[in-house]
Amino acid sequence: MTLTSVAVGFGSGPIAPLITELGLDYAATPWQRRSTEDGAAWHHETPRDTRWWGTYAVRAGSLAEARSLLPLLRSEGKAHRFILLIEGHAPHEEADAWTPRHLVSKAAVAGKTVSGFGFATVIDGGTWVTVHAAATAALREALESGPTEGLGGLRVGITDPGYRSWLAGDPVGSLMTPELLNPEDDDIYAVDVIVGQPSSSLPRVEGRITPTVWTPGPADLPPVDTAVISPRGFLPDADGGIAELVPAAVVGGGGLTERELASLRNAPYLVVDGARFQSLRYELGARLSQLAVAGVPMLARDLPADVGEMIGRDIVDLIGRFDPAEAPVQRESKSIDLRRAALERFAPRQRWSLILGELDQCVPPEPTVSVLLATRRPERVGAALAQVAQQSWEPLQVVLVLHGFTPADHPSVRRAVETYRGHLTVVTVPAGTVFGEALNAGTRAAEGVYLAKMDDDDWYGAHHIRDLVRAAQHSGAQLVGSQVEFVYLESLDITTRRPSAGERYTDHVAGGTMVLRLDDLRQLGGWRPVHRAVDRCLLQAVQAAAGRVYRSHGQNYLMHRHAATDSHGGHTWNPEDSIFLQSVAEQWDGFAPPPQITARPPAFTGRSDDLSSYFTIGRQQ
Amino acid sequence: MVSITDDLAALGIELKPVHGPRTASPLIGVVVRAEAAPELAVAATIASLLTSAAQDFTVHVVGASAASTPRVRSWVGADARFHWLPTAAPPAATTYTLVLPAGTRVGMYTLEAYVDAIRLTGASCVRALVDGQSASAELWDTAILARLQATGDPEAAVRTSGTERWVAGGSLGLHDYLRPAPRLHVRKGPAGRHDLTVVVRDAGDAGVRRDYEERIRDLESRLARSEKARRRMEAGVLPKRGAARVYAALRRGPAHVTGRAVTMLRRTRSS
Repeated sequence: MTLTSVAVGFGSGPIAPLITELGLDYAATPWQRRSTEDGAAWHHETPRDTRWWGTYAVRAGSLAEARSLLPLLRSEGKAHRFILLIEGHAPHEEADAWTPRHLVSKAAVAGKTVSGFGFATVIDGGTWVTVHAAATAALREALESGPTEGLGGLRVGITDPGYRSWLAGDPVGSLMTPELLNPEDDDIYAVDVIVGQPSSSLPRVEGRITPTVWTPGPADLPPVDTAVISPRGFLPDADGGIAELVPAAVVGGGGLTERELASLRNAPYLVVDGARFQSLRYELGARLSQLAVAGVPMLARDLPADVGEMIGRDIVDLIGRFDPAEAPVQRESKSIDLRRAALERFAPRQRWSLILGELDQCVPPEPTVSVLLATRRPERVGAALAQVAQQSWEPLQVVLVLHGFTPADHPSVRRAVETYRGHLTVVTVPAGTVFGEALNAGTRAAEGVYLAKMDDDDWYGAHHIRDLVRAAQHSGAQLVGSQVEFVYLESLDITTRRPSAGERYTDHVAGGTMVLRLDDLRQLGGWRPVHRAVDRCLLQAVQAAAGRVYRSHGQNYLMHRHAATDSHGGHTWNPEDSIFLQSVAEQWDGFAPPPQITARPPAFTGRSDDLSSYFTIGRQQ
Repeated sequence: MVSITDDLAALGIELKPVHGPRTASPLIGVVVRAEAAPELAVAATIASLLTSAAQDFTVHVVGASAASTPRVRSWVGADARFHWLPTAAPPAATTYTLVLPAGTRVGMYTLEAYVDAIRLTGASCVRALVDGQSASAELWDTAILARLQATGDPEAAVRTSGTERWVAGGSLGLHDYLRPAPRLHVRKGPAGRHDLTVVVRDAGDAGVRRDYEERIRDLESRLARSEKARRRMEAGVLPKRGAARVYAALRRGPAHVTGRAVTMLRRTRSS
């Protein structure tokens, strides 16, 4: 079959000049010229997933026209190459003001990979651009992670370049030059905290806040730049050889780079012999903090006592738990525990919260998370609330949406609501309400910074929300969640685990694990008012708005695949369950939640009679 | 003295148990659970066994009355491998015991794949879920089964010891006789093995490239549909079957129906 190419908006004009001008090869494929005015031209005989094109070229006379063409392209399938030409348009040539956002867009347009060199961005403003803003914009395009939350508004300055690792996470962190240390009397200081020791005391003006000066002690480790070093990239099944940390890697105090981290991902463990780092203890401590944040499993021995003090005894203990003989799921669980503890201590915002606490300064509060729990099943309310109650994250608000019933209708529901110790908001919607609208009703009652959707019949680890909030913070993704990795098949009474690609940006996360900022959800228009597939609709909306989706580990979520119910009310198997046995990496008999989940088996356990073995005693009568 | 199979192995000729010379005891003892199944279902299972590439088996059809299966009995009556029993048979003197619910069909290489699966996993029992079937297929190491039966409940024993494995029947080529055979995109060992005629093609040839690109696109399309189905399963949505599926297609209008028909016709011609 020969691929056809499509030209939209070219009329009868030539296509080849544009292709060759772009330096592309003009393959002599048949071209379909498609008019934007002829609706019939966009109707296809073949299903969308079988529409494949060679080159798909779109020509528009203006940016407005190009945007108006988007709906026509919705069902066009896939192409080997896509070209968009907007005549006369030169994006970001000029701007009323070269704000950082404008510079980011300009950098995106200008950035390219130079063979033999690397990634290069040329930002030519035509007029003067702020160097710091241009550099920030260029870096934004070089970074895979999205913009992160920073330090919660805290501004940090340093007195010496040697302290710049303390500025990780502060997008406008500054080297305090003399003019910054001595602003005009009617001006403010650019920072709230100064790391280091200014050569002279800071001038004080009545009514003006003077920054706190803080000098790190010999055992104080700086925060880890989680925009670069994070759990992202962790592989649950690493099949390379065990690596070893060598002193040369930390000499000079150079931090862990993204390339070094990537090279470690395929090693199941990293051996750290503390005895080799006697003269590099601080450097070792800093490196261990970075490796711990990244969740790198380590086999450490002979760690100097002061290194343990630097990184924290809890982290040392967690490092000590790794065992090269353990199963992959155990290795991953220990890595999760390690990175969780390390993020609480060394992620930029958390690190500065600890320091501010020591300085008796005001600590930015953690963001409130609203848990959206919608259910049609009164019998599930108690168990679902119990799952939320065990969550370690605070502050937490639960928005319980009762779909088709009220607490007054069911004593068990009333009891569960009355005994719930926490911030609980109950929303009732009629049974006829479409599911998406039921979720919107709950969303309107949510008050938190983040919204976490949870299901009423699956199992969650106690740190489910904590891990996802931290994932949102270090990934900069608009939507975070987990994949369905662990499944309990009730009819077979087995627990399965699917292969996982690890922590990464993705295009899909399980609906029962979605976490996003409430403001983002509102900007997207909330949940689509449909009776099902609300999760898929949200994923589409996030991606259509150029948002990022990040998938964290799957050990905090165990999906419950229910058995069907036969006419006698007994549990039987669901005739289509075999799909859950495809691509299974591991399986365990019975209810076997992953190590991160502590849960009791469901009330009904045991294999369906239909699926008992033919040789089970009592069968062969 | 070096065995002949060792000498063959040195030449790179390795035979699996399903390919070995016949012995007095067949390799696989098949138990077809007929019970209340219609005669056609029993016949379909037997037919699939007869068309299997591996034929070293004996078959016990259990629970089917003579009155309910007269034609099938007559059909295979002269084949000494088939036996009809009213109740369960004790494990035969075979290496493996395979239980198939009536109506479950095996593919041409299913028996080989199934034996490979139990050997490679080291399991005592491999059980397969087949969509559309209410019971599972199961393959046992007969010696282990007999030992466990003598001392207690075999199923409980293998579950406790962690030597039971569940797989999707489609991955072994098993399917319900009223449903189409599964398409195997990723060849998992013998389940997808065919006699190959190797043709060397020049990847630089434009026609060859187009041909491979078309196959890749076809696989990607199937993968996308499979992903869609998986997500629907995760969401608890069952795919439409039978009349409901026809009705859903008709509701989309004549253009959709025509388009699907054209696509299917093209696929049939190109396959």
